[in-house]
Amino acid sequence: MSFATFLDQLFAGLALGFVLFFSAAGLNLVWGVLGVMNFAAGAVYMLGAYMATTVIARTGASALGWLLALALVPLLAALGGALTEVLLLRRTYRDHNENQQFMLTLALSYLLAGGIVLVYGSGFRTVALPASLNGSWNVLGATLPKYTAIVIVLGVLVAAVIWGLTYGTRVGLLTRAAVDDRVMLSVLGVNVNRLYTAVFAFGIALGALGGVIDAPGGAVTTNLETTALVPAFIVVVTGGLGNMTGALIAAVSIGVIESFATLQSPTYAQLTPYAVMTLVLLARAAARRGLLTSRAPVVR
Amino acid sequence: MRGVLRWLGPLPDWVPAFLLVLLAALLPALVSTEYVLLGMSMIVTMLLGLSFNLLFGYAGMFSFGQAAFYGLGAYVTVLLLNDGVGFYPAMVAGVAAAALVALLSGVLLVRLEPIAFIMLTFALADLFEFVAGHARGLTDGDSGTIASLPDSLNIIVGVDPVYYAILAVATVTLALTLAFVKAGTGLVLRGIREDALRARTLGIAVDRRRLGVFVLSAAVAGLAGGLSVLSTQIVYPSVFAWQVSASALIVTLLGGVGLFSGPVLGAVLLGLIDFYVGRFTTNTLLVDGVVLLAVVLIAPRGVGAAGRGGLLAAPGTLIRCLRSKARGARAGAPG
Repeated sequence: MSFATFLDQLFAGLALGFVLFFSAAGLNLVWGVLGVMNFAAGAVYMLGAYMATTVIARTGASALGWLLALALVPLLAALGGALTEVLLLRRTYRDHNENQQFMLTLALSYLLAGGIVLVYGSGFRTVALPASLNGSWNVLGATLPKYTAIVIVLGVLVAAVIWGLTYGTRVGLLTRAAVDDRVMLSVLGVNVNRLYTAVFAFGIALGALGGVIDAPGGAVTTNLETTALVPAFIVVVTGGLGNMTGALIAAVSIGVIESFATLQSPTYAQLTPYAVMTLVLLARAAARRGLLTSRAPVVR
Repeated sequence: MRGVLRWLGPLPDWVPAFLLVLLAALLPALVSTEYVLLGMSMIVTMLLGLSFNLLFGYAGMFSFGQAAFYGLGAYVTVLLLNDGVGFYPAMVAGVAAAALVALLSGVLLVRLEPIAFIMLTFALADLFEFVAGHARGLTDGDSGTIASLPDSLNIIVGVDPVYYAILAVATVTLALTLAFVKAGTGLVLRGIREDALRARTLGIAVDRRRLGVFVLSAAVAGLAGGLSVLSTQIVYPSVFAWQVSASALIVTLLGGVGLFSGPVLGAVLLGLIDFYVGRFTTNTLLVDGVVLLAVVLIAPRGVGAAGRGGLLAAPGTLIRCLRSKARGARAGAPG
């Protein structure tokens, strides 16, 4: 493999990894803070992609339209997420029944997917990449498509924003406190309910952002729900449930490995997430007997 | 009179299931072919739900990958059938294949914490869907594998014999499963569900018991898949889709988790809802979403156990209530 090919695959893999990171980060955040496994994440991703096709098409497939979609769709998704959290999810915290919460989000994913079919039909939709975002640069003999570069930069930015919010702001401080002891935090006078709403809305916005970025250039289909959800699940499990740094490392490595595997066999490269996850799980099992304990083990 | 009431009072949770089986046996004599076909698909969904209820309702293990075993059962059955093996041996092989895969994957899976168990069972089914879609030499990929069924088991030749074959297998499975959950083993599983740590302290091999019920549940799901070949006559890679796993969950939840009759009631109800609503819209996703949302919010324990008494226990609850009133009146009369 020449150095140029190496760079080609590396760029593609990084972009793939960061798109994976967006939806996995949303899933992970909601799990880590609220303790809710949001099964609707795939449907949210799909909704983001469909809404992006509408926004970009309406604005004449310009770079401005793409930027508008990038800002508007996650914002709308966050609003919807906040509403869902307040109206539906909030009533499940008292019992903290993980299964009931899972089933609630499953119902939401059905409703979202059903709604998409109702509005857009079950056929596929496409929207072209805006002309100004098309094309590529030449980097050390390798081609770096503009859009790939944009995705990588966006990914790094979003990861930095998440890190900055978590460790550099008061909200992040309170969020971390809520993970440790929700009741104590509310006793100290913090409105934990509002904090949860904000975290859930942010998680949903991240998921929708993944869909927006994925939309231009390819076909947006109703399959997107599964193709987005499964790798996101796998990234979250591989990185360690609730562990954001782990999710970033897992997403980017899965993306890069898959990209290099594509050189060998495009079909079997799709199995990369499973392979990486299995290896990590087995290694972790070998390292310590207790498998996959995300938080401090709860003795009941 | 009191004896009769006491006998009627608290209805065991398996009675509705077998009453529905009796009704199902009379179905071809009562309704047109269209409804017999509906009943056929209900029975298959019921078995799939039963496999989920075994795991979640009795052992507290929330699997979201029942489609993996359902699909394996369907594919092994249809592939062997097309190789000239008889239907029933092929079906048994399908069940065995599902159980074997559950045994191998279960060694790792049953040790995971609940949320990881959900996600990895889900990923397992998705992995099989990928394999079935890409192993074109074996499965014809997305075009599907058409079953070459003998005339005696072909719904195009005659619906009733196929219906009764499916019903017979399902009834035997229901009876065996009932025996399993009512026996000591079922009790131990419920103990593990309530408090795994205590069960372990009492000397119960928790992981091995969990693995056992995981394998059994996979076998039942594989059986449902094998029988589905009779009603669909063609197997697509989408038998492994998560929507299949979700339907197992929805019917169980609708009927009542941990109630033996839960998946039976749920399968009948959801079948009827989808059938009648299907006349107005093909968007079953939306319909099932509304049903699931309503169940989760209004009757999280299912229609078989809504509230304390529940819809089906309602006659029993009513009678108990009347009885205690009557006893109170009698006690008050002499004084």
